[in-house]
Amino acid sequence: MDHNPVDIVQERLRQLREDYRLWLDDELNALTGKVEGLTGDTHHRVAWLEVRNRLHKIAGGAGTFGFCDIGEACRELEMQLDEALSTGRALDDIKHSLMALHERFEPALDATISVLSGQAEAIPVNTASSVPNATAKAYPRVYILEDDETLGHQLCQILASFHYAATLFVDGLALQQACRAQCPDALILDLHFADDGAAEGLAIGEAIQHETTAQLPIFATEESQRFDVQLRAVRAGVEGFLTRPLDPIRLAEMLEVHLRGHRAAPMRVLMVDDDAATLDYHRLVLETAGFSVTTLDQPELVLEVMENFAPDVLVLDVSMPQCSGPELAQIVRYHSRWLQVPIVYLSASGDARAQLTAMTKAGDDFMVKPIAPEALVAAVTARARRARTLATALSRDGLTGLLKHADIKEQLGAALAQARRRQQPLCVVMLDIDHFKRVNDTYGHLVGDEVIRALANLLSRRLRESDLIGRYGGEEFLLVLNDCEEPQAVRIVDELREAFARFSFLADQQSFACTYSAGVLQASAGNGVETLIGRADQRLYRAKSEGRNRVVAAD
Amino acid sequence: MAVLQRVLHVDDDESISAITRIALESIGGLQVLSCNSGRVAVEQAAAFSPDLLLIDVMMPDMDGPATLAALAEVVALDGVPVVFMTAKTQPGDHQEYIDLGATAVIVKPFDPMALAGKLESIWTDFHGSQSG
Repeated sequence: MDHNPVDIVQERLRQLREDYRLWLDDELNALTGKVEGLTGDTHHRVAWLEVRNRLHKIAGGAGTFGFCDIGEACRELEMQLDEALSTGRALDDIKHSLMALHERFEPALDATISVLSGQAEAIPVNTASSVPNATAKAYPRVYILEDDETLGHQLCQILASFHYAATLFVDGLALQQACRAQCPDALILDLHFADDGAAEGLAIGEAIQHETTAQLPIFATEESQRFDVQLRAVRAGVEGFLTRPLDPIRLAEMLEVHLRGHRAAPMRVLMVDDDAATLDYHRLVLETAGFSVTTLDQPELVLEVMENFAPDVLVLDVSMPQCSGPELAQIVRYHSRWLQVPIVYLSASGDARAQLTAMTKAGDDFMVKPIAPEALVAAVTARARRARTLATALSRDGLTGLLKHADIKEQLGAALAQARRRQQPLCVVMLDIDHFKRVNDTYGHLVGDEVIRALANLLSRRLRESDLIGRYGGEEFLLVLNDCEEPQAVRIVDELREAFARFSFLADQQSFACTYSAGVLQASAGNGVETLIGRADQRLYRAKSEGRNRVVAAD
Repeated sequence: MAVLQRVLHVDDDESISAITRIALESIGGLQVLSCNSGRVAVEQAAAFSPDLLLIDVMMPDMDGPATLAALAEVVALDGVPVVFMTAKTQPGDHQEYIDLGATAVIVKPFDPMALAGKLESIWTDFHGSQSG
């Protein structure tokens, strides 16, 4: 098969999309002008049919070029217009929507779309707390519908401390308009909103959901636990349901869990094949599906490349001149570090015996070339996801999702080595929740666990993706801040301390607050992992003895 | 079973023709002849000898079903599967095209990265059902 190099194909796709964008902009503008003079009179029928056909064309085409919302909106209007023309229903509403179409999608048409359907979209939620001028713009946008203003403001404050850009609405119509102007990343609805019955808030959510093509995550808050209300919530696509009195910390946790999935780094695939054209083609297919891909046509370099790239999945050609795929797989499996990496073989022949031999030696999956792009994406996705989940389950703490004791220590070692190579500063932080035993004794372990989870979420949310966070002991956390000097680290940990102290936890109808103490230390030449942790721990001890609820960076 | 290699594509929309070519040629490794009307398709089909016909439903003058009827007269196209492409409207619509003799219907908008794979699986199913 003759495949063009990846970059040429992508450049051509980009150009086509850009051409289409310009055309679409003109076309929506022209449609607005066209319908302006039209009425429901019978002599305008032909003109309306033409409008209908033009909408049909956009409905079919826009999504292919990445403008899914516009395509959906046109399809909707096309169907409404069809119905109106056949039943003789009034056209005023449709005319109104059509005339607003261009203005409505102007922002989408201004930005050059670089994403095709099915491709992972980068969501800018990973804001660096170490970058002081990171703007609120990059924070996930959350709209809240709540008629109790005091509670609403409290909720906004808590979400702001988790670095969400939260906006409160006390009016359903205003919320709907805001969603039209800028779609939020999540919606929090008070189902008991307005006193016209329990489902009023939900009806507003349903109306908004109806107008957006992409599934908008909705979280609902409600006083009753009525089954029918919850069922309706499920059917409206509500992601999380919280009964009142509302616990803002729980809500923030729900949001965090939901949005965390989007923040995960792309899955890494290493492909080894001696045929450069096949590699280019498969790379294009996988990269378009959101994978990070490295290709290699020299099998002898596989271990070196794996060391640097740390793939989640290895895809090997079965027959290569220097060594076969199964031979290469065995070499990889000699190294304990790579025992977990799934191996998928690609073969030009469907020879069942060769397949069996390959799988017996080492390997997890066998695919015959040529492979349909979706089949390749599906096979690699399934393997990569499973490998990631396993690795995460083995190294992550069940309560908090943070790294476990041994794993954070191991990763601190690696981070330290990297910081030395790159001559970058690195800080280690030991952090401990104050009087945690008292919380457990007074309110029970479940409440204590909630406090730990709230802090874990705050840390994950506010620190950078490149920072390491581990649950070191019961209520003790170890942070590794890469490329960060001590004064900056102290400032960050102190800001987090203030945010955490503002949280209000609920137990037995009472609310209470918690604080933490921390010791911060910048690594200096020659410090090993144990020394660093030991010295940071001494500073933590000092923070405790000086009265707690503080950050100490001096011995 | 023969391998799917040559696709004749009929669509009056230039931008869709262009992206379909990339989807099938560059990404799918297939050979494509693009025709901007049913009439042109009828003229060129026999010489190109396609393995599969991909036809847009809504075109001016000669629409998809009319094109299908005209192509049915071309002897060289006997046994060549026909796939219709249409913007989604009502779910019931598709059966009507199948009844006209289409093998499958692809709904617009389509994902260019997945189009070739979709045609390949339609091709495989078609030949499976022919031999079975």
